[in-house]
Amino acid sequence: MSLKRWLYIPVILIVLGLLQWACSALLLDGPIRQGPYYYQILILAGINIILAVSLNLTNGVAGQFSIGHAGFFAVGAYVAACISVYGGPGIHSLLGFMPGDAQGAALLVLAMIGGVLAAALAGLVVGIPSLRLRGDYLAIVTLGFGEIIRVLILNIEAVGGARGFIGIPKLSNFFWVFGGVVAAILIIRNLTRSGYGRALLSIREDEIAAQAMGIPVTRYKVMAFVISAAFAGMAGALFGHFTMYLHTNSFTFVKSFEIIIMIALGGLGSLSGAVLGAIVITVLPELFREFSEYRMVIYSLALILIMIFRPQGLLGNASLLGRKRGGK
Amino acid sequence: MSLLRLDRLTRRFGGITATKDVSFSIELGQLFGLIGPNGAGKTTLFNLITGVYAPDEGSIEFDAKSIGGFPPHQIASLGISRTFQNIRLFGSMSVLDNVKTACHMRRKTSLWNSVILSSAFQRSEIETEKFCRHLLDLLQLGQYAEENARNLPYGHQRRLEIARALATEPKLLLLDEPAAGMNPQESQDLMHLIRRLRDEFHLTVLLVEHNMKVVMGVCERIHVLDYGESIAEGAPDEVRRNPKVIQAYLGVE
Repeated sequence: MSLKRWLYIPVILIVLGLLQWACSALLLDGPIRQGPYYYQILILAGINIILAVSLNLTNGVAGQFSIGHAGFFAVGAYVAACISVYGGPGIHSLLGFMPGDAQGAALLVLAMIGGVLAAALAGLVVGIPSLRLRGDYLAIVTLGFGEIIRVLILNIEAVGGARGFIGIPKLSNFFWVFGGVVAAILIIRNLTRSGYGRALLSIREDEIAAQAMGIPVTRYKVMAFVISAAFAGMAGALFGHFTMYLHTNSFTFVKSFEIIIMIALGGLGSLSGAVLGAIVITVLPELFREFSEYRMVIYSLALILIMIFRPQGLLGNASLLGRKRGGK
Repeated sequence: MSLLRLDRLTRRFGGITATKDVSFSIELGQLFGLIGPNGAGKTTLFNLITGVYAPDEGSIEFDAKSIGGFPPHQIASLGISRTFQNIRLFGSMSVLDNVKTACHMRRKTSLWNSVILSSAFQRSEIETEKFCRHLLDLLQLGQYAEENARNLPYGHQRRLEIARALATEPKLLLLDEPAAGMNPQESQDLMHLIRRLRDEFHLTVLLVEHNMKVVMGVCERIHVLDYGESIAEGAPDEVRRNPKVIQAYLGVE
C-alpha cells in the first residue's frame, strides 16, 4: 500500500516531462503564432495556483486573515535569485562534470530550497508575535509586514534596488512550475484532511472550544502560517527564474489582494476553489487587456458581487478532488 | 482519593469578586454537583478549572498536581474536559469531524506521516473513526454523523458537546448546564446517560445545573455557591433542607 503510492511520483514526473516537451514543441518553437505568450500565461497561472492554494491554508482553513502573502512571495523570489546569481558561478564550476541542463536543474533546486527556507523563516518571525492577535489586527500586521519587506528590498543595492534585479538565469519552466503545483496541492490537501487539518478548521470555527479540546491554538496557527509562507517562497523562486528579472512592483499589497481575491472567488477553504480562482484571475485580465486600467475596479466589483450573491465562493464547500470535506 | 481539589480559589473582575475563597474537593468517580442562583460564580469556577481564566488567589490541584494558570489545551491534555453552557460546537464541520477533532490531541501521527499518507497515519485514521462512531452511537447521534453540526436540533447539539468532550478521553468531565432547554423526558434520559457514562468511562463528573430534579437525582454530593462564596455542601438531602440554601434561592422574609 505504502510502496504503491510512491510509484505515483515517477508517473507524475514522466507526465510533467512529456507536457514540458509538448509545450516547447507546440508553443515555444512550434506552429502556434502566439505560442510564447500562451506559454507565459500558463506558467503565471501555475505560480498563482501555488500562491492561492498556500494562502488558502491560512485564510480559508485556519481562518486567520493574512494579507501579506506577497511579502513571503518576495522573500522567496529574492533569496532564490541571490543564490543563483551570486552562488551560480561557484555551483557551476563545482558541478562541472555534469551536463549543462543538469547543472541548471541543480542550481534551481538549491535556489528553491533557499527561497522556501527563507520564506518559512520569515513566516515564523512574523507569525509568532502576530498570530496572538485576532481578526483585523492580524490583517493590519501582515499588511505592514508585506510593505516592510518590499521597502527593505527596494533599498538593497545588491539586489538592484529600485532598478530591479537583473541577470537571473532562466531555469524554471513548465516542468518545475507544475511540479511545484502538484506538490503544493497534494501536500496541502493531505494536510487539510488529516487531524491537523481538522484542528485548523476547528480553530476557524471556535478558538475557545478548540483549546478546550486540547488543541494548542497559537502553535497550530503558526504552523499553518509557516507552511503557507514556505509555499509562497517556492512560488517566488519559480517566478524569478522564469521572468529573469525581479522588481518590487510585482510584490506590492495589490499582489496580496489579488491572491485573496483568487481564494475568495473560488470559495474560502476550498482547495479546488483556490485553483479555479487562480486560473480565472490569471486569464481574465489577459482577455480584457484593453480595459487594463479598470482591473482593480473590476476586481473589487467582482468581490462585492460574490460577497452578496455567493458568499461561499464559486465552488463553496464542494471539492473537485475526491470526496467532499468531512463526508465519506 | 480526591481527584480535584480547589483551595481558597478567588477570581476578581475589576471590582467584582466572582468567586471568593471557594474550596472543595471531588473524589475519584464521584458525581459532584455545583449549584447556586444566577451569577453565583459557577461558570467562572468552570473557566478557572479549565484554564480559560487564571486564578487571582488560591490553588487548583488535579491528580495531585497544581494546575492553576495552565493554558486550556494543557489542562485538556491532563484529562479535564468540558461542555459549554452556550453551545460551542464547530458549526460548519460534520458531527463526526467535531468528535474526531477532539481525538487529535491523543491520537495524532506526525505531520510528515499525515502528509505522505503513511500506513501508520491511515491505521490511526481508521481507529479514530471507529472510536468516534462508537461515541456517537452511545449518544444516539450515529445517524447524523455526516450532518453539519449547526444543522442539528438543540438537544442533539447538547449531546454532541458531551460526545466531543468524551473524545478527549478525560478523567474529569465538567458539564455546564447540560439539561438547559430540555423537556422533562429528555432530562430524565440525560440523568441515565450521565450515570452510564460515568460507569463506562470511569469518569468523575462535575455538573453545573439549574434543573434541581436533575441535580438532586444524579449527584452524590452537592456544593452550593451564592455571590461567589460557598454556603453549603453535602448530600442532596442535606443540601435541600439547609436553611442557607433555601434562603439563597427563595430570599428572606
